[in-house]
Amino acid sequence: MKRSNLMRKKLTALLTSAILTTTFLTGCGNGAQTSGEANQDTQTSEVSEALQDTQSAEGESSIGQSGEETGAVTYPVETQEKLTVMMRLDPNLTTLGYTSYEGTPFGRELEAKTGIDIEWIQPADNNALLLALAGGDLPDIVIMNYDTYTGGINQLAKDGIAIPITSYLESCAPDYLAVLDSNDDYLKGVKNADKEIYSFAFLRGDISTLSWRGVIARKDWLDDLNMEVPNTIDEFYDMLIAFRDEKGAVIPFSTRNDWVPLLLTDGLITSAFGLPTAEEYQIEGTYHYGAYEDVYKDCLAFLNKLYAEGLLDVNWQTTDETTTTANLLTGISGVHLTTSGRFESIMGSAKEENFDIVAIPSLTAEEGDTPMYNLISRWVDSDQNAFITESCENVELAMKFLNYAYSEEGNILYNFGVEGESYEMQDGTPLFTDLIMNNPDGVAVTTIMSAYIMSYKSGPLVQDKLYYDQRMAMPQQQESAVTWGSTDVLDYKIQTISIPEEFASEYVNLWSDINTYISEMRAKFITGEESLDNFTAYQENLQKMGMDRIIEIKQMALDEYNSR
Amino acid sequence: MTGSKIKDSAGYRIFTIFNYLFLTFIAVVTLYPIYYVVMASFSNADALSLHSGILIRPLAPYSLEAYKRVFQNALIMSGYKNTIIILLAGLCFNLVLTAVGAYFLSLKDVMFRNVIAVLILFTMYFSGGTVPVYLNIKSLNLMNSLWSLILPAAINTYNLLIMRSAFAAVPDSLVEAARLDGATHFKILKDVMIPLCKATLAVMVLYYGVAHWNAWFNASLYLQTADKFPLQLILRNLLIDNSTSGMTGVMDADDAVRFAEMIKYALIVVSSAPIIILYPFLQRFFTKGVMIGAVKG
Amino acid sequence: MKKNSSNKNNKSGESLGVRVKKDLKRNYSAYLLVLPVLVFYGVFAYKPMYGAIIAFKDFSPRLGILDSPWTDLYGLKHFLSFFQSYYFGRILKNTLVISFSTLIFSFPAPIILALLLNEVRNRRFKKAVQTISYLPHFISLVVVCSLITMFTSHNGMIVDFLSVFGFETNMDLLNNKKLFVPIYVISDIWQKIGWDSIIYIAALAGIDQEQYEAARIDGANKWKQMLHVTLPGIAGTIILLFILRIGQIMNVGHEKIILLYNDGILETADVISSFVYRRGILESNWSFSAAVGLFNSSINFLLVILANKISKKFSGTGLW
Repeated sequence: MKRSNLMRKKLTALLTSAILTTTFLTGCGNGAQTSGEANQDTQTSEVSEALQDTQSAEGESSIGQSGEETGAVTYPVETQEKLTVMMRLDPNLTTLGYTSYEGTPFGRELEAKTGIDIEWIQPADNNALLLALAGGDLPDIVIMNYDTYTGGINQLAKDGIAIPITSYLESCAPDYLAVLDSNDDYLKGVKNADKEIYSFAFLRGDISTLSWRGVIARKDWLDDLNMEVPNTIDEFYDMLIAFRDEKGAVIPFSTRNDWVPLLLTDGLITSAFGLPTAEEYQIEGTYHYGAYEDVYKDCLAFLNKLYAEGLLDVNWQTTDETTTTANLLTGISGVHLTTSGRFESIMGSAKEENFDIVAIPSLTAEEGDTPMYNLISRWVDSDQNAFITESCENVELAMKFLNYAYSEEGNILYNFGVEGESYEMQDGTPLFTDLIMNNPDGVAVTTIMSAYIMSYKSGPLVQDKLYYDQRMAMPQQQESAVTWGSTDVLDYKIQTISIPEEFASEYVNLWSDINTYISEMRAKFITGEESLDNFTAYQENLQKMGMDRIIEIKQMALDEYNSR
Repeated sequence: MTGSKIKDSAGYRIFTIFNYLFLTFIAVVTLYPIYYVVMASFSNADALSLHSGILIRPLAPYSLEAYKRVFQNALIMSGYKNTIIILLAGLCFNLVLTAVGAYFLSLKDVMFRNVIAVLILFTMYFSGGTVPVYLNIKSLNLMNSLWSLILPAAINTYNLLIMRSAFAAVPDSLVEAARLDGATHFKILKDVMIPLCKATLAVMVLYYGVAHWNAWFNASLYLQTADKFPLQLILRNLLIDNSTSGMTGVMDADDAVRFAEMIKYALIVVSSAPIIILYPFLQRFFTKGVMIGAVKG
Repeated sequence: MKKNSSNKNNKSGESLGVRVKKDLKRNYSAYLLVLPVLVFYGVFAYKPMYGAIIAFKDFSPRLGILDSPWTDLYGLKHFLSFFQSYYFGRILKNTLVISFSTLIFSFPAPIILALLLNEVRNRRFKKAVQTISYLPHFISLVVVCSLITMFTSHNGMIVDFLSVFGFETNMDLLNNKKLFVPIYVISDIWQKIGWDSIIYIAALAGIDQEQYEAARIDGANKWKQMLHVTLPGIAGTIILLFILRIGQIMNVGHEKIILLYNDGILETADVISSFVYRRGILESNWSFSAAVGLFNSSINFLLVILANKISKKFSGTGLW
């Protein structure tokens, strides 16, 4: 591992490093600020997370001339050399008593199967990792979320933390190459603007894993009332009325604070009014922003109507998750907005006999229309991607190590763990054992998983559909993936485009205030504090604040992306 | 000494009644949140997630689940150990350096005193920022060492000023007397200032002690092996991972989410209990009469 | 820099060099004693201090702080962008309103508590109340805010209590922008009154008991004793903490604000720190937040120096 002199000077990661988001969410003020510390906040949490428009890959052709595996890698690899790998420490590991992957079943198996000795360097959290990177010695491999690094992959490359691996793929990472070639979106998502590939990415394995949040309703109530699952906006309205009048739901629709706007920004009701989403979208290459469009007024009017008639929780801005879930469980509400991951606990906590939930699709105007939009994950995620640094002396070895996760055998290790311990093979399907799913010591599923697999969080791997199916085993969950996934969203969704550097600070200056204004006015329109008669005034104000310029800049970014 | 022969006036007696009432009210109102937290930490997870409003007693079935999970964490013992080491070593540096600095600033007739005072005060308001500070620590070879949590935190300027004010309040006559006896600065500090300012010193122990006990942020930056993590960092990891993350696509660990609430509360109990237990021992320094007797002569 | 004391002593019109020499000779043991303290500040505070210039630069990670270019407008670009923000007036106003409200109500509360406790003769009761009152200090802010949210909800304790006086509502109190500041301040008192009173209790312990005796003999009742013995006795502490508090005028922390506010009440709830936080989510412009921080710190520092000067003039005591 060579010492990198340049890193001393480059205070690159230090930018983003100093800023944590998650800390404040988890109670970092735990009695820490005694009056004696009142002014010493030089190092206390300054909070934000640098979400950057990274230049995600885009490319037309597939890598590798033949697209076939040329030269398969055999494992275990014959070598005496070690590799140093830096990755933030999974907190669950410390619960189990491990201080890194060293010594865990996962770590042991990985070294045994690949034949490579690994030295794990695991800082306490992302912040510490970013600081460590800036401080000097680079490891051979860094696994991190590149969205948290200001300047994204481009900057990582410039700072020597990520070297281009395109030329090594055929010979040293054929399995990864094969995976990438199997799906156009994988390739596009992984290639950088300069046509090179830099990372071993976190790939989602199947389309069914991409849709995970939306509106749900009491299925048993619908059955009782002989109502179908609503598809149109009118049916949805009727359902709410029926829930209120005939099922005694005092607050027919309630969801956690500040998630009501998702109805607009996730496009859950906007299709009915001819708007894909209240956020940004594109129609055949032209950039639009939903909250600026005329029809947005109708969407707001609908929500305002729900609010005024008491169908929407009057306290939608302040009620917390616990209360709103309880509302659903106790019959105060019949409609809720949540993630499919919560279905298990909702169904598990339900007391009523026939309690059942069903996912509701994005609403349209007419029966039979396809909804335009819904929330969708990216095929390629920026979280915990692996990069090879310029300090690595044996790039081929590092490539082979990281390639393992995408091979058939490696895929099983990263997704299911160690045979006989964390999974058993049944008819060719790996199934999690009781050690994981029903741990005899009562250890939580995800906690024990941390010692055996990586895919339950993210990492340089493919998150296997079979894994996902076992975590999301309930029929309601699997149906919800289909329901929420059946939209034309790909026609409208804007992938990760990046603002041209020369306009970046102008953009942020304008957008920061505009974004606040949009959120604030949205709340006021919904509650009626601001009358919708003033909608044009709102649009004019946006224009005064520079909205047209924003669209201009974004259009440039979109054009650049499309031209790749 | 407190046995005054003069009877309390009627007005004072009424005042006393209201005083007791008011203070009781304060006690109840400030007690309730901790009470709630303790009750919640023993409650059943599912019942807690459905419950909103006041808690009078833990929600049945009573459960030690949250505490089990907290203590199941294999690094808890090392966490406690590290925190105690940091606390004890840290306090030594804190008390010595703060006392010395405060004493200096309380001196009269020292030419550069004001300059130094302003320079010190300045650091309370201006800093280089997280990045240069981090690099600085690194350049001092303090990375991955508990010293990185002890040395940079040696003096808290706010505390320093409080201590200085206490020293400045010591009657000049005593200081003069000592000096006439030929005492050095060090001796004056040791034999006159500190004994007379025990109450303030106790406050220093409390402030610095609590700060060390609760510290985690610097630990997350400077410590690289988990067996060096102090208690709060370990506990915080527990909390992060168990918190709801409905915004991400990552699967919510359902059981973890259910216990997140309870664990939050159990953590508060676990981490504040030691302070609450130790506080009464410091309290005796806050009673009247500490200064008397030592002074005269 | 200030050399007041030495000027006062300069009766014989000696030159600066001579005075310095005399001072060093007389006080060298004091300087020696304080040396470690100076080293501490030098090494840990001043050595990295250069980083503050990032506020005046267009920070580029590639170049690092020292080599990044200065911004346009004489390095003031970020400051101007902050001042020219659409919401600048509002966040400044809210920050000051919350700060002053806390100063007026939350600052005296622990003093009053300490004084009241001082009058309690039953030691057990006194100890109990004192210990209980500081407990909220240990509860993490996240939990405190969720308790606040719970109490101020439309079916929470506060509304229940107010309904006795005929106050009815089905809205959570935090939906009302007029109530944000009162909720913020009252919860602040609630969380801090006990812990903050400790220093005053310690100060009270330092009052010479003989003065009370003397006052009693002079016929002073409890009230007069309070006025003439107690308050002057802790006046130094009060003044010190007040000055330091003034130095925090611009520091309304973002955590509590963000945990309590929502889009509907931004008008009264959005402060400088929460504004910067949201900006930082979009893009971590380190220079920008450093500029705002510098702005805040400068105001704080100036106010402190000013307050200190005024205090020394009128009361003789100050920060040093």
